[in-house]
Amino acid sequence: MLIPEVGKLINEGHTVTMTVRGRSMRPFIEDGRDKVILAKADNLRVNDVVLAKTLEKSYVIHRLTEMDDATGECILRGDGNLDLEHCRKEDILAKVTDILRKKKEKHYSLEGTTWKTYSWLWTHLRPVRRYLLAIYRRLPWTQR
Amino acid sequence: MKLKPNFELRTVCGENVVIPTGIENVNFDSIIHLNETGAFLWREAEKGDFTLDSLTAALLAEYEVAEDIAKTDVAAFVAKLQEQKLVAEV
Repeated sequence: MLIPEVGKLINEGHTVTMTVRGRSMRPFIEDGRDKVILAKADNLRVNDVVLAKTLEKSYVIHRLTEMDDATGECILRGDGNLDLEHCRKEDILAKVTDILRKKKEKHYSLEGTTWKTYSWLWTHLRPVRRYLLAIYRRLPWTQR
Repeated sequence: MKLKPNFELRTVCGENVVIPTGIENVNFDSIIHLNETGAFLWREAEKGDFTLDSLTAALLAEYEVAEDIAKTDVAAFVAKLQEQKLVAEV
């Protein structure tokens, strides 16, 4: 509900910290547990994690998987999702710069090695993602 | 008492929230929501120096409310501001 305001604040030069809702960025980012820091979406690149209003008319924080600079058409996919969403470049409100995980809010920069390694692995494991997510869901310590 | 600068009251989707105005991180997990009375008291407090009594008087002038209830509400409001470190003691 506050998402348009988040966009406004970011345009004014703030960064915004918020708790992530939803399971679509599993396994790295967990629903209600982890926080992200959002900043202005400058110099967007494929593989950035962005806050966007999709053409399917919902706000998501998902990975940018394709971007057509000429037409401004973008394709997004949550790490925990199998399906895609579409958006226009101008509907990207912000990008995630950092992730704060778990109670201790352990800090991961999206420019850091941990995220980059995870990112590389997880995107390359896309063909078997369905099975990895199914296993992840059944892990005893995963939130139901 | 005085409100610290760099905070402002905004209405977001019909809700009154207090947001920092400087260029800094806004933590949406600890954002301060105010109800209608809270928003009224914030606007009063914004005008400059205030005391518990001055806010109570303003509340009594605006709303039809018993004095002891107004006093309790104002005390709770100011306590909340102090807890969130939004007040500068003069």
